Amino acid sequence: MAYGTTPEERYSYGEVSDEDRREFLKALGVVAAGGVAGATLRDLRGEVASGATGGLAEMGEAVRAGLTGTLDGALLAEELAGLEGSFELLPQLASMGVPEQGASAYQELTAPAWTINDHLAEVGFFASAEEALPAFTPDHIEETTRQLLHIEELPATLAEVGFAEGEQTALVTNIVNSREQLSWWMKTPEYPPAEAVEDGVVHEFVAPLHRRAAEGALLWIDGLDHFLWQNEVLVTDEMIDRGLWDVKSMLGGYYLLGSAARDLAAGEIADEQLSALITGSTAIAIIGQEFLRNDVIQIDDHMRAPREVSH
Amino acid sequence: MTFDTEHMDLPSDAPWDEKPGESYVAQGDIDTIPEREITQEDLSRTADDETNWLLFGGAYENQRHTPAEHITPDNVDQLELEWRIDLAPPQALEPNPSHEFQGSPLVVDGDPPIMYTTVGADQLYALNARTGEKLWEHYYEPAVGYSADAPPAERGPAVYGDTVYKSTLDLGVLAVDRYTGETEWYYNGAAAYRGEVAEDLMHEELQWERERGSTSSFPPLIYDGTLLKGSFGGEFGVSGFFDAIDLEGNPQWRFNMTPSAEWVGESWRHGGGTAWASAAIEPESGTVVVPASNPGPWYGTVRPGYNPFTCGKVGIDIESGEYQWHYQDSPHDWWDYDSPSPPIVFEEEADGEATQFAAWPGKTGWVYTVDMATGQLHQRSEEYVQHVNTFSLPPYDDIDSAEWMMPHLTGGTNPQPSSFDPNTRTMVVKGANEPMALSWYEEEYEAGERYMGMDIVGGEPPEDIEEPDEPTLDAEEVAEGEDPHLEAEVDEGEGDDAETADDEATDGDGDASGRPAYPPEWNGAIGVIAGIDPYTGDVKWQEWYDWSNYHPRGGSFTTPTGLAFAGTPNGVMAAYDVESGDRLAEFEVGDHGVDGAPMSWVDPHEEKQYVAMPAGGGHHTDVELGTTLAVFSLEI
Repeated sequence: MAYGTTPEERYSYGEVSDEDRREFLKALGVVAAGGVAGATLRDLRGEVASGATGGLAEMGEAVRAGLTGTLDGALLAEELAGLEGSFELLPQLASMGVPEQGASAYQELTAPAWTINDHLAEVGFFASAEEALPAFTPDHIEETTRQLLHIEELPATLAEVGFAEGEQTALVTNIVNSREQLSWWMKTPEYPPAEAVEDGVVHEFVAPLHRRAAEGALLWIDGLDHFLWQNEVLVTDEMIDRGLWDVKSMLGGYYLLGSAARDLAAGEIADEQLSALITGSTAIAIIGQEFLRNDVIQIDDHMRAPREVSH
Repeated sequence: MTFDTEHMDLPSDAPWDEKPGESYVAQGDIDTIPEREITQEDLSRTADDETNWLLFGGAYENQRHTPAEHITPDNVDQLELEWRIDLAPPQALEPNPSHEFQGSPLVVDGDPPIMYTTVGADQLYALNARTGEKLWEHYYEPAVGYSADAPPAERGPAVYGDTVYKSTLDLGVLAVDRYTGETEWYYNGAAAYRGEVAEDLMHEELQWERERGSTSSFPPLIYDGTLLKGSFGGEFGVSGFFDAIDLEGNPQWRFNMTPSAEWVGESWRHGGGTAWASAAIEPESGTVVVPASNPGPWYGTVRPGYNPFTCGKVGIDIESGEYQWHYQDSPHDWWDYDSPSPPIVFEEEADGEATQFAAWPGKTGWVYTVDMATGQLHQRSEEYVQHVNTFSLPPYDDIDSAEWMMPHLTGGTNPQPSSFDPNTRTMVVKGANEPMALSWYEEEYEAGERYMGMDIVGGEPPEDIEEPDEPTLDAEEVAEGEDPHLEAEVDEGEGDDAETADDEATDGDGDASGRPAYPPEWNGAIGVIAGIDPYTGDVKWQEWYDWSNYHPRGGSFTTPTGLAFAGTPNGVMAAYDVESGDRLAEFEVGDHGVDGAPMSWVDPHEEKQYVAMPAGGGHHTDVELGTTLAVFSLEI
């Protein structure tokens, strides 16, 4: 089990260890003899072949063809600019610590993303993505990751919103190193197997995979103002620090998703890159929320702040 | 994130007043019942009136703390058995389907005092509290039927005016004349669901055979002209709601326990969060604190986010039905760590100001104490049961690889109501302490079918622990000299075999997995009774039960003289020193688990203080289940 029930073993908080990079490369069929590759995406690209892209290109074409509305490039560009501003607020959140009652600092991070989200849902983007793309099968994760590494603009795109080189690498290695849990996030018709569904009842209330991941990430971030304030007596600095990385990851995933949609609206994205970015950004959003749950939300006695007793 | 109030539509053309099941009434000497109209003032001051016990929790604050001071540590061992009956079901239901008896009776003062109590399924009794004589019984045969193998537990009635009220397994409320047992009205809570009028009398998504673990008959709560009533069915894909009804049976508002804006897509529609256990009320602000159950399905990948208001408590303004605050013990839960245990409300000086707090033990095995005004957590207690791999995610479709974890899905604390002694600031809490292993699988939703998606196995007991004690009493002794049946014409109920969550929990094959029979950290105790300071979080004392018992169910009550009374899994009621946990006395009750919640009253005409102990559930190893009601007394 690559991930199993011990999620902390392979997850990188913005800095990827040699061992985790080695595991990542091994999963992609690269067995390093002696030293392991450097810690940047460019370093890893040098080690990993791009692989065949025909399948991804077909899927990307199908996503494009499956849209039921027209993507609004101007709206997407405007909201992405707003989302860039959200990343700039993250250092303030770190220094803020536990929010005051009624604060909305975390919630304000997601406002542009919600607008993007609503638009993507409206034009059938999520439904088309689920229809056209496989779930997180080992092959699809591998092909997606190879493709992500070979998107020339990816490091610059992530750098625009404040991801240092090590953090860029962590976003990508976490996808592969967390692949077991990604596989739990199934396409909607697979809950349960399609042939067992009567009257489409499941599809009525389970959102498409990529929308579930995207909206779930936003809901988690939105709730942190309330959650951290409410549970202040349990919360530690370490929990906030780790949570902020998880939040940054989720926003990073959303930024990549929105950027891909913007470029699609402009006709400026290759089909195989569209597939890889939708899958990769969705994976990042999923991993971020799963680890936020683990790092901040479900607090056991080992994690909690020491109990202060006032008699 | 704003948590706005979301009320569900209450269509006026729904059959709100139509009863889907049938009522059967049998009467004995009903002239014995004295007229006594119960007012709002009576309910509000029942905690200060030793002659009655008019609310499930002994008061709106649920502290289960009698004001009677006659039983003390020095004379507690002088309590004598006053009467004991087997509250078996009406004759037509023979053989006794062995209900879980987890309730708490009410006693209305008078000459004689009258006890109102329930036992499963949907049986309501009026008894002479001095003698145990049945004065009337009202059997409601629910339209949905119920399992004879795992019958639903009953938790008691509510009283107001000249009426006694009972939640029914059809998701309704039955209002019954306290003097005759005859029906006054019925509120059909299944008449509409998510704003959709039922095609028949009950909405199809609210129908399944009722059984222990999937239903509840916690009593409604009456406050200032409003009757408050929850919902159940979290394992059946129900989206929870909490109802306010006027005292003529008309719906007032229905609070959505899965607010749609905070859930992805339409996942709220089967999101669980039902409100099946008893709430508490903080009378000063008029806020009701509602327990909320698990999200549905149990695996979280189809419902990302916190999944409010599941697995915690929700504060709601009673008059308006407006959201006040919520706290989740286990946001985005995967383990059935819901929060059914009724909360208590207590006052304590904090930062120099008198402050109201709500506190409750969770299935997670900690006591949570929140500020009633804001819902902010003031304290989470020390653990009172063990924690192993807590909150670790179950693997997918691979039960053999699943690690042991604790607490078990039965808790920590499940619906066991706690008590509180304000003098020593001690909360008396019962909990389970078993290991479990879980593995999830995808599940389709189908109306009326289980919607869980989780395999469950339980641990095997350590081998080096002694065999269980013999039961203390046998069933014949319990029923001695007593024919509990009144004449009633009742159609015989039928029930199919049905597997419960608890049953499933013991079905796993631990041997094949390579997993040890139990986690090495486990102390071998199956459960605990603990005294906890909810303000500081200190665990003051713990009394553990070894694996030969079932974990302790039911509740307790406290006295101003420093005592706590509680049933045990092995047939006795025990009296504890509430501060130290020392067992000062014990009283034989039955040959089964003593799973009810005891309560007390004083009869000034007889000059006695009484203690009633409902006992059933029968989880003591290899012993029959039971429906015993035992009453003890002390001359004052």
